[in-house]
Amino acid sequence: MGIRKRIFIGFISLAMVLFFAGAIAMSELGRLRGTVHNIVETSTRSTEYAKLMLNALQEQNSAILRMMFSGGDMDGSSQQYLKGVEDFNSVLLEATETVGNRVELDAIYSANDAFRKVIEEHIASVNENNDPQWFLNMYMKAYYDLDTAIKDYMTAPQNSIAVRTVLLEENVYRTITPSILTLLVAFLIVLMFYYFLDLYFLRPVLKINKEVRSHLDFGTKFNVKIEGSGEISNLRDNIQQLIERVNTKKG
Amino acid sequence: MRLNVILRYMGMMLLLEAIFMLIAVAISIFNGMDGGYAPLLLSFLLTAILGAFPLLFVEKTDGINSKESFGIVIGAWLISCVVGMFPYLLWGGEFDFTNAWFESVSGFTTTGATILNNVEAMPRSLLFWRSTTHWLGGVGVVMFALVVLPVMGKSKLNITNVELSSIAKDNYQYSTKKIVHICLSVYLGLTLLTTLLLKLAGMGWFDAVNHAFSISSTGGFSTKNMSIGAFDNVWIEVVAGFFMLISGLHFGLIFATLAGKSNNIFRSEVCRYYFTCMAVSILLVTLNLYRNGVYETFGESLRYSSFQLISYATTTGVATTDTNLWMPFSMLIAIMLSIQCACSGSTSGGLKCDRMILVGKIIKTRLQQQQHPSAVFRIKVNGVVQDYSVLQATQIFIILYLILIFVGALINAACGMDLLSSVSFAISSVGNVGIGFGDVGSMENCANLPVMVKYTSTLLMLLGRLEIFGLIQLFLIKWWV
Repeated sequence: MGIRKRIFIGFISLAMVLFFAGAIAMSELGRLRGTVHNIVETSTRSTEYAKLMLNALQEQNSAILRMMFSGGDMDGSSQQYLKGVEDFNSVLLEATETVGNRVELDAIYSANDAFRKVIEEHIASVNENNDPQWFLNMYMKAYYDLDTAIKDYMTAPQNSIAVRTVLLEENVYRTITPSILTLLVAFLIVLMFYYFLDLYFLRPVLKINKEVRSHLDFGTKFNVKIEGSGEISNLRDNIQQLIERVNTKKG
Repeated sequence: MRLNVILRYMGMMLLLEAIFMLIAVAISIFNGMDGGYAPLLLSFLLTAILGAFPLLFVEKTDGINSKESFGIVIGAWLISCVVGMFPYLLWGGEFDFTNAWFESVSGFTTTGATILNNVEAMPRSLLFWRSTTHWLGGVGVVMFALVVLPVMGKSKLNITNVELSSIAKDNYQYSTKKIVHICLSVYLGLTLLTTLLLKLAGMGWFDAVNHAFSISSTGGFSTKNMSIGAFDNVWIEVVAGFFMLISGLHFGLIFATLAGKSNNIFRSEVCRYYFTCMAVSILLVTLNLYRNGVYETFGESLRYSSFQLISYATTTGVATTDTNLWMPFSMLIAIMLSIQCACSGSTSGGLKCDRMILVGKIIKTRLQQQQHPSAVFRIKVNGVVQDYSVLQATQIFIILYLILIFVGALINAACGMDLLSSVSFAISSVGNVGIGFGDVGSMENCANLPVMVKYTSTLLMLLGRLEIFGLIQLFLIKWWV
């Protein structure tokens, strides 16, 4: 194999390893970025949905209170209640479809069903609209259960951020391990490449140059030992022949 | 010393490793691209590029001198251990840098100590790679290269001298070229036969191959958390025990016996000593365990003591029972066997029976010399008169070996390990046994050992595998000049 081909393959090997390192680093960092982005986005969206759900629940609560103390549908309070229910359900559906957090959402679904059941059963028995015992014992409990479930949903991503951040911290070196290993191999190849270029090409050329100079200045014998057989050896042989031919012509 | 020649040979070792990594990749594909696929594939690519690079520039060289051959062997072991940890590091799991280095060195030196709490959680392809490190380390990375590489002649002899102890070489009675072929043939034969018989005894193919790698190399890695004990199968234990015992014999003698030569196992003084030692130890431990009620029946005592003692003596390190439950007398016998170990010319580590016989004869001769000061005594092993240099080397080796155990135990104790664990782990590391007592018992792992202990033990493993002097040479600056 000639010098050009060897050096070319050497550089290609080095480029390949560096390409691996770069590709792996990009891929791993992309994955890490995706994970962090996902955590932040989940947290933001959950907070937003929880806020909307709490607003809708508050709307329903106001309507129920107005119904309780007015003894019936005053100022369209039942309309306000139905709007609150509709708002709540649409936010809940959107949260289910977009964010996830199934465990916390399941808890909201369950608490919402219980809350809805308490209110609908009460509305069905019209005569007891202003029953304070119902309000204190049944309504308040169902309301606070739902309120707690929504707040749990809101804080769940924050809680998981702490856990996931610890995991990210622990695994951060593993994420970059492929790149580090690849760069380590690239470094070793660079060292070897320099060593081989120096040993097989630079040093012999410098040696030949020194010997030719010495021959020209002082007429010493041209005698250079070179390892291996390649272009550099051919160069040495050609110079040797040239010197012999010149000497023969002079003689 | 020509660094380029050393790099060429080291590159060839790496290419050989890369081939085995590729086989592990194929196993991963066969197992539906398990978790080991990407780590093994990337490791293969990196190892192949790193290995092929020196071959691009350095041409074939004959006439390697002894310094270069030392450099090749030591360099090959170290680079194999470094590259061997790539798949572990890339996979993650329980492996950080320290643990990956420990597992890799433990694999290539055929020690078999593991840092894994849950071996079974590892992908199959990585389990295969883990067993492969044992198999590659078994006869020695260099031995493989001697067969694989086209370079023949004097270079082989020099390299073999580093890998095998001088005693082992004396016993072979064959030319160096033939030694290599004999070693490889016996090693391959043992591996194939062990695989087949383990399968017939009730193991699946995958477990059989992995355990055969581990047994024939006297390594100790298993695919199960409970090691061979997980199978709870007497036939598997019989097959494993028998092949562990055989793998502790001189490979050349196994070949000579099979080939019907006169210098066979039955005529070997060393083999006689080895078998007698094993038989007496098993008998004593069985009686001790049975009489103290450690196991309910005599049969159970015999079953567990024989398997475990063979495992300790041959430096394999697989287990079927928790030896921490044994009586102190039995523990001491197991520790003694861990120091003595099996025969030279096998894949086992430790002091080796050959040296024990020599020491016994040196002591005997010394006593005779005191009675007859003017007499000239010659020490023979297997009828061959041993040179003074061999006797001196043996004594120095044993002293150095014991110093290493002491220093290792001291460091372990300084890091907070108890006395039994410190001493037995130092013995286990230098002898490449893999199991000891206490925190490093047969059913324990090294996951919770201090980091310092992990690094110290890997150094001891390498020193033990390279017959101490091999690695020490590396640190002598004068040697490089």
